[in-house]
Amino acid sequence: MKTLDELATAAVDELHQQAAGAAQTDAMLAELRRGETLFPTVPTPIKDRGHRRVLVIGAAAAACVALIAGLTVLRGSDSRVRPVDGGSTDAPVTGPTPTSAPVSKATFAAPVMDISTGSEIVYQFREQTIDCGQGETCASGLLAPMVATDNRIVIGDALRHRWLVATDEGTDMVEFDPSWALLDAAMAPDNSVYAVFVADGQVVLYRYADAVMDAPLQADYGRDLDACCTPAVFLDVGGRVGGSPDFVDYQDGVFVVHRPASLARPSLTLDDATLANEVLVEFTDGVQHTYLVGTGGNGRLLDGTLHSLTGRAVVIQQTDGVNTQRLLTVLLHDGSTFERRVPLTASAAVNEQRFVDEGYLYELTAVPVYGQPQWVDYAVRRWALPNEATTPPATTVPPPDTGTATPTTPAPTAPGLVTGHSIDGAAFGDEVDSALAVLTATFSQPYSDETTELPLRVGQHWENDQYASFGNEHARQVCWQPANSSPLCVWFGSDGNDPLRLVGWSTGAESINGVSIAAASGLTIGSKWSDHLAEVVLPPGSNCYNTGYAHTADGMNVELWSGTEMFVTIDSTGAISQNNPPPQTVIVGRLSAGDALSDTRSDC
Amino acid sequence: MDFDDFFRAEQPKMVALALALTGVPEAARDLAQESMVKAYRAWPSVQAMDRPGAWLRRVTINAAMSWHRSHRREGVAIARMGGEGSTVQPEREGQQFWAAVRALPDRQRAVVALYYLEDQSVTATAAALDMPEGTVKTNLRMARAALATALGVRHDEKGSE
Repeated sequence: MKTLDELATAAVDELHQQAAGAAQTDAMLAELRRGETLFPTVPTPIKDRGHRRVLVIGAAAAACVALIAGLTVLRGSDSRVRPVDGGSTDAPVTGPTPTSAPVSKATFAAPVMDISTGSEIVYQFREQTIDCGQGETCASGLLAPMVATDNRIVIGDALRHRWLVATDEGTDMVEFDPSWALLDAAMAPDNSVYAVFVADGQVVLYRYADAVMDAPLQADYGRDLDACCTPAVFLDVGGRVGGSPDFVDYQDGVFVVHRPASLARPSLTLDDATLANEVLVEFTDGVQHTYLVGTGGNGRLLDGTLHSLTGRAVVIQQTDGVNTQRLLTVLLHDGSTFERRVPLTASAAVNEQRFVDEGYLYELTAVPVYGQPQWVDYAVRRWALPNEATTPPATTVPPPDTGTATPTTPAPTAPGLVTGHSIDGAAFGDEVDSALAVLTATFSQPYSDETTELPLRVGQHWENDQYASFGNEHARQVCWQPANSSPLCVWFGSDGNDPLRLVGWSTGAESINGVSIAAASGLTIGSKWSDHLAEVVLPPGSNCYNTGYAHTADGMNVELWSGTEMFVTIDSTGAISQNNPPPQTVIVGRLSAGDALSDTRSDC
Repeated sequence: MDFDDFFRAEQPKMVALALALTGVPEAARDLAQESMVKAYRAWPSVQAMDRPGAWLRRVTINAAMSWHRSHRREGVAIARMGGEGSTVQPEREGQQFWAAVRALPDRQRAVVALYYLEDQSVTATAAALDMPEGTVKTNLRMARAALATALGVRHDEKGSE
């Protein structure tokens, strides 16, 4: 019989051969060079202090220059040139020419800063510094709930991340200089350009009416939480998808996203969060497509519904070659709908490169913001639009429910006895001191004791920027780690200033320090499923590869591990097969109850 | 090292890594390219890193994980609509091995792929995944046990300690 390592060695050799055939290194390097020629990298900051001050006081001329300069460097070249102030128009071309040299052609008509109404709107704009875990590096997350109310465009993401790189030499992420930065810019369907600046501690949204853009917006999605410290500026328009050199064009009142056809596959996705946000788009002629919804930033949802997004339903792939305007009815997660006519146009080939055009639409719902103590609040001014109501949209949302957990009925007190609402005599709802006194008396001192803050309310639970998810805002995890086994952990949770209370437990260990952990029935780690068939119920479809997610009548969660056949098999093409491994070959791998600090990236 | 040298040295490895995690050569090449684009855009910072290769591997793994989830979701969606699809069984041992790797949970999948592709170095794997070596070892031990079971091969404990 072969050993695993022998098999792995052969598999690695085979893989390298296959990869060598697929890599096409020189061609891909050339393609990267072409693509990056079209899309310049991080913009050069404007560091002149005078400009900053001028911006802050709102001097239109200086701001205009700064905006144009900032926007210009954000945009790559394009072969489309639109008339500016009656200027001439070049022949329209629909895609980037691979061999063209970089030319920044973004030009704008005279900007108009909307300061006439005097109806200044104050928004909350929040910044948080995050330790990326790299020692010298750190990151900054922004909440920028700036939503235009003229039913045209949304500026700012529900949650937007920009990365700072702090090295021994200092911070080198200059585009997020808190004293001067162009945070974002986008073009509205009415040809206005919106730009968001941070200037001397204030964030200002400028609107430039009647701007004309003749270059594509560079766009990127900030799925860089792990790719820590990648400098990038995220624009709110367009999408860079799957490594393809997408760009956004503005044609006849709509945004069109271009992408080389060779890279437009059904599998293309925007970022992690979008995967959970498929939107069924139903055309009036009965055709239906499921699209993914992009959010920009790190794509995190705040309330779990489409309403919390920046308002874009991005057509990932137009599958039927439609080239006429269609009325889209987007069904939102809450059952409501909105409609918009979105042209889906075909475009001509350029240098044998075909492009897939994608319609673009906006959904216009305010983004809720949830505060937390460590946020730094900036005063944010948004100059009102001429046609805008004087009443601003809600800028903050009341703090989420901070329901206080109440102690439950006394738990059974047998050492190591677990139920759906207790462990070892400590019941859900017990405060930390009393629960830990019970648990340490049985299991001895814990191996680890960590607290975690989860500042982001996401539907009914909370998350942080380290992919942790929990049912409460504050979490404390206490674990006992036996040798060569999975740990026993308990979790305490609370919201606001409430005291921490026991909310959950989980164990992959049959015993800790000689004390068995088991249910009254004897169900424990390693138990055969076949011995507890009546007690452990596996709902249909509750499985993930070799793990089945079952439960008991009193609320315990039971992970069943199959030692032979997997519960579900999904191959690399996505084909799925459901299996029923024999219960006598399935054992209990983990027991848990209540809430647990979990990883949002977990596989199933 | 300039970017072109970096690209030529790392891109084939990233394709291999992505291929191990996706099983689809075209996707692997695109995902590797996506990572290289990120490196290119951040080249001054990447170049200054102590371990730019580790950073690149992390980026590639993240992209591959997203790809993997997307495809699994599609498979689940198809199943929900009533079409369970066909289960294509890999023929060669190498294919079987990597298919089994791809069936592992996220962390185990990443750890075991890097471990084998990086010449069985726990240190390099830990650096690339920004994990403590102990965590790598734990995940590696679990992954290897699962692989041995799934592939019906003997599992010795070397390398996971």
